[in-house]
Amino acid sequence: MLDQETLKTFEELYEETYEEILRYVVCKSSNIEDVKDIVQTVYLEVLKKLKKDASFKITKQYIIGIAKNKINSYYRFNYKAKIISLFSNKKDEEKIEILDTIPDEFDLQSYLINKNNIEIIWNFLKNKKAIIYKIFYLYYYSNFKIKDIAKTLNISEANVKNYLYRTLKELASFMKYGGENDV
Amino acid sequence: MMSNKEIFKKIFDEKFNSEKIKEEILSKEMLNGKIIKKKQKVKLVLKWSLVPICFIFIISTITVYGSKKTNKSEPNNILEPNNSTEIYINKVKEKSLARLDCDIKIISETKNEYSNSLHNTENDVTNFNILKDLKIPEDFDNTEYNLIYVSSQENNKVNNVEAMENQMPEKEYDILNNYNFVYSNTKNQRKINISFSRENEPIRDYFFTEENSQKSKINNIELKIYNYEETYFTKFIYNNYYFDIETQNITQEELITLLKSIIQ
Repeated sequence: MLDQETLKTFEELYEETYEEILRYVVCKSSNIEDVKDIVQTVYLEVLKKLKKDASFKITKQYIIGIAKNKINSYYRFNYKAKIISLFSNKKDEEKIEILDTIPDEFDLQSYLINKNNIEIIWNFLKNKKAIIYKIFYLYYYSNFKIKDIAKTLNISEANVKNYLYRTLKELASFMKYGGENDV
Repeated sequence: MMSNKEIFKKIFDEKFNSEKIKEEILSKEMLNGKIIKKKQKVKLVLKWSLVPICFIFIISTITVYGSKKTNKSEPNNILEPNNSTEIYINKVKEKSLARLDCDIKIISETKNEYSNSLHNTENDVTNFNILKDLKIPEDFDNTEYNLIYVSSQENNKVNNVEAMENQMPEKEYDILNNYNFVYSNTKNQRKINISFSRENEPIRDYFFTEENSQKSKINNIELKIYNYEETYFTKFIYNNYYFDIETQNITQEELITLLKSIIQ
């Protein structure tokens, strides 16, 4: 059983580190729906460690280490594979085109979304490429600047803007039709 | 009206709510504690049961041995016992969480198109005599043929999550890992997915433990067959080919017929 002292230490650690660990897991995961599971597994490991040795000094870096291992084992059997038809020579048609011409201050407000459609927007977002939910999380939730997102995700600033711009545009159009067209 | 920032902040706040996640972690921890306690209780019961169990076992052994009778137990899932073929279906309770993050591009080809295209492709699929007698259910009306490539680059290996999500250049996928033939009935979700290769084990997009599973035997070739809901999985080596087969919504009988048509 969890004693009060361990619980208190855990809760303090959790408060201190949650945002950063969550951001780390979001950036390193391959599917937004895995994030919650991985974060929970990480903190369960922290609890286990605390229960075993209450005097053990757990730092943020230590928890990031656990997160790294948990993500690795979560995707242990996850191979990067590419499946192509035997008879097709077509290039990936869905590759996003790079638009360097998007201004720094492009108007995001022109794609306003109704607040009652959270589930629809979530479903839209989770069906997109992993890079897109990462950008949205960092931009809107973590308040990262475009250049910081580019650095964190190791892509160009133009690419970040392009993903943001095009996904918002697509989302706005998607919402206009009641969230019923294909995502 | 909310701004985009407020909307997305609200979404992420709701989906990754710190307090809610903490509560779930603590509930899981409590549940783990209860399970461990329960296991300890079972151990205790077993410990005190050991004496009478041993006693009963000794008495039973003496009785059976004394009367010179044999009691050969039959496996639960056996379908067809004979000298060269024995079938056991291992039930998988739940799939692992591991998923495959693939860039997939599949274009369906009919059998005729496939046959017509054979001579035009540089991939010598005509060598696959191993599938020449394949018995697919008669209602199947669609066939797709694919090549599955992986990358030889170190940063593309399984543990590199970053490499998985960043769009890797086309040329990175330079190793033909396996062939993949998909047969299906387009109207009712019945599907047979056959992956095979002479050099590599075909890639799977799922994982489950094979611990304590029983082996089947078809024409003296050993293999393990698993069932999860409407899906059967099996992998085996036959004629120097690695095979990995996954089926959906087909019967056990259809599966056995399929396997027997490959393993002859």
